[in-house]
Amino acid sequence: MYRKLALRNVRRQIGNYLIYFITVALTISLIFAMNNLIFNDQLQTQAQSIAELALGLVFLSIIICIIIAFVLGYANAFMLRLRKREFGTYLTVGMKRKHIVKLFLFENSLLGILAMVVGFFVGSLFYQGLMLLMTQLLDIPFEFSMFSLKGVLLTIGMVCSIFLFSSLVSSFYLNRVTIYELIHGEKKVEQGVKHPYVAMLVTGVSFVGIIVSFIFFSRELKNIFLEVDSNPGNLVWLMLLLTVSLVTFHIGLAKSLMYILLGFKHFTQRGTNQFLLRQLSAMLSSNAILLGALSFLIVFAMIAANFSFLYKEIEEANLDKQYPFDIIANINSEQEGSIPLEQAKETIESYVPIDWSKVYNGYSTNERTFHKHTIWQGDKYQDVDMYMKESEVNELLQELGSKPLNLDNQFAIFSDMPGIQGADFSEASFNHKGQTYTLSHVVESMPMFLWSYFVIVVPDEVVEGMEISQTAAAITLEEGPFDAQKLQDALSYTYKIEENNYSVLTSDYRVKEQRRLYAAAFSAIFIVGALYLAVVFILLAMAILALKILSNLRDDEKKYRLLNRLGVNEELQRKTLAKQIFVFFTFPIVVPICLSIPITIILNQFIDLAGYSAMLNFNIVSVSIVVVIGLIYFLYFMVTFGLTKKYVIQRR
Amino acid sequence: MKKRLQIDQVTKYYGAEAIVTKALDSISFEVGDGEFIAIMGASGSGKSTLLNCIATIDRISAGNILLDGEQISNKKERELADYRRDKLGFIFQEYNLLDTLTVEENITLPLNLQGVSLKETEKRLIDITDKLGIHEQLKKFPMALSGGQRQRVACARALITNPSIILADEPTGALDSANSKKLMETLLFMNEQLHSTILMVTHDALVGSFAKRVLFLKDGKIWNELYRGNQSQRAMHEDILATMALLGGEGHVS
Ligand SMILES: Nc1ncnc2c1ncn2[C@@H]1O[C@H](COP(=O)(O)OP(=O)(O)OP(=O)(O)O)[C@@H](O)[C@H]1O
Ligand SMILES: [Mg+2]
Repeated sequence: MYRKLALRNVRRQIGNYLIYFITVALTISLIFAMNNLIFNDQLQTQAQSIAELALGLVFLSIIICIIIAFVLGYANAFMLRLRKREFGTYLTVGMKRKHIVKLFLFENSLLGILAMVVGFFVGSLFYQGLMLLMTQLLDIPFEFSMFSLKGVLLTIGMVCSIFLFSSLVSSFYLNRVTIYELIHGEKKVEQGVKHPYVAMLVTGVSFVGIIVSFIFFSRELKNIFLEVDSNPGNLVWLMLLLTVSLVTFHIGLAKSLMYILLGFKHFTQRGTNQFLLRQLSAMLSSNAILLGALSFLIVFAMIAANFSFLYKEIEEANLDKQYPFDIIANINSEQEGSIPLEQAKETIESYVPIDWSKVYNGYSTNERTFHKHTIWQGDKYQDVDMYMKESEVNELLQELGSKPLNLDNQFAIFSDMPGIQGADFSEASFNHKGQTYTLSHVVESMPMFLWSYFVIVVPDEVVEGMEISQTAAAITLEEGPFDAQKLQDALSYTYKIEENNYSVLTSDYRVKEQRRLYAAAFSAIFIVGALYLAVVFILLAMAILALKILSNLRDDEKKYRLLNRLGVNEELQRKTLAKQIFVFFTFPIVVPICLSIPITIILNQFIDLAGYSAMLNFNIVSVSIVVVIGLIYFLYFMVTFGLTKKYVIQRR
Repeated sequence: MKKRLQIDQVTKYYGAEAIVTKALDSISFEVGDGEFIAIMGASGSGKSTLLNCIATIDRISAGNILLDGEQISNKKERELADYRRDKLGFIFQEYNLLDTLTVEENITLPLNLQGVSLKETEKRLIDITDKLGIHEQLKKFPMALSGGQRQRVACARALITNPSIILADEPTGALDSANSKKLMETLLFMNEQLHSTILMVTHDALVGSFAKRVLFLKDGKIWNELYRGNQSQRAMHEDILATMALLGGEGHVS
């Protein structure tokens, strides 16, 4: 009997149920896709060799869990609110509370199961897309898998526990609420804004907080790169400040903006403006915290998207800088177990033919004269000045396809460290056999040829009499596939540390291809994770805004009917409604879009500091991210407006 | 006496083909300037339909409706909105006021829609609220008012544009008898002192007895008509009760 009633209800309010259903099913599908990804066999195999991958996956699944709890809890509350009056009527005609609770739970579980089925279906499509992207990024072949059992079970577990929890809360509520409250709703006495001046003050202070957090973030970032009394922990505090300021800014603004606008009588007392402002004032101030939270989500979605792209770009550029050749050897022949170059070459040849190789040296006088001009001075740093022969450097440069040096009784400084910008070599000069050598130029973005913060490249005759302190070799390989991980393993050895008897696995040979695969795996999880989160955040924000608007449909319908009777024509009604929804929708996204400017500035600063400014231009990426977000957002607005319009706008 | 409203052979059908209800059956009557008319009748007799047609929220199937000599049944949707805004005042049974707007803002809303200047708006607001004695509530929100107070605010809003006619559909429907009486006194005041023309639908004989003329509807037709003339209100009340008994409908008897 109750089942019949429940089914009939679903049929009657199909529109509202549809919105609830789509939101829940979409959320479930997003989680389902992620959980499947986490437990994908291919990725799990990869994850075993890469600890970061496993950790990243776990982190993602935790965030996803929080999101699903948020959306599903929210959607269920929406449902309860939608049906209050109906339940009130049941109670007045004598239905027992326990039956109503039963009815509600039955319906919810019915819908939940249905949403889960649809969510699984749509989710497995998402999953294929994600896997395609992942395998592409990881450079592994795409193996089709429908889903993973663990992923399914985890999703069911998550969804059920959240449904159970929100059902418990709802039934508790339904068991205690008065009939009056059900029928009349929480007859909130509209009081207008309570403390508008406090809210304005909060807005102002938070605005300063946002600006301050960006300025100090930029400054701190610079300090970190230039290694002057920096404290990376401050970045976390600044992020926290940004988060808090963003949320409080929106809360304050939601509670004061309309109040301020209502003061402009010439504007408000025109047509439906006053109605519009009052509507917005009520909507914004009663949803202030939610709007603050949403704007925070959108900002972080944007930051995540930006940084994931940046990370990938930098990772690639960095690889060339740290691994200028296919294999770089810094041979530590004193270390027991170290593999000599000749033996290593044989090993390499058994994997892939060697195309070219070159042994070169780092010379030193065991002095630190040049270090004194840099930020790497003082007791913390022990390294001695490292010299390289011009002829050897030129041979390396030639192999890399770069222009050779032509040092005419001068010297050049090569470094791959951003910190070299803090050095001043203008005073540095030295004498050799009666000849004075002065600085020719500093190259900041040189590949790392030796283990040193920087090298001094000098005419060949200068190194005569210096001791060879490092021996290195550059090797380029012929094209062709080989197992880079196996090669790297074959070139590794273990040695024991005397004091504590620890074994350390190390290698004097750095295989670029192995590093590339490793980096690709890491950036794959980083990019997919960050972009996925960004998408989920934005969808979530919009779903909640849409639910908010739709749950007010009944009230809005009444209001617009009254306006219609008072002589507001259809067109003006439509304009007013569009403005009302548009402002509500745009409220949490305006600040994030504005913040994309300082975010881009900081990203560019980061690129600059890290020495990639020549290689990367990030403005286009930032702009595209904003455009994409704006576009999705606009579509969502149009859909919500379209749905609302049908119910709310009055004609006869 | 100048004619305000002319209802001429108005017919209204609801539904299509199989189930057609004739809600109004070629009704004709006239409302003169400054009249106060109550429309009474059993439930389903077509009272609300008639009022909605005059209010242009509903379309008529046949006949003519003229306000101030102007044909309204053939106007376009857009013109009708302006017609409602400029010529009509409304008081409904419930949900008269927008709960997000203050009392003051609710009252001045029609003037905002007409584009009346700030100064003029202010002047008319003070004038009307003084007359109706509601100036203390201006900054409050509707939810903070009693039902009776809310209806009085609705009266003020209906009056502020100086409409040709005020339409009221069971304005006392949601009020207790004491508040009903107060509201009717307000309406009477509006009619007698401010010369408003009022057309009101009601179930309640006592409420109807405040009017100068009562039209009784039955099955979409005018069945009877009572004029108060120089009678006392008490006598009018008795007459209405007697007519309703004859009418035999299920209308409230109070
Ligand atoms: N939208 C509609 N569709 C179909 N029939 C309708 C509609 N509105 C009213 N009716 C029918 O028209 C007739 C007159 O209805 P109306 O609402 O005018 O009565 P009323 O006199 O106002 O009654 P009450 O005193 O109960 O308010 C009734 O038979 C009613 O069923
Ligand atoms: Mg009626």
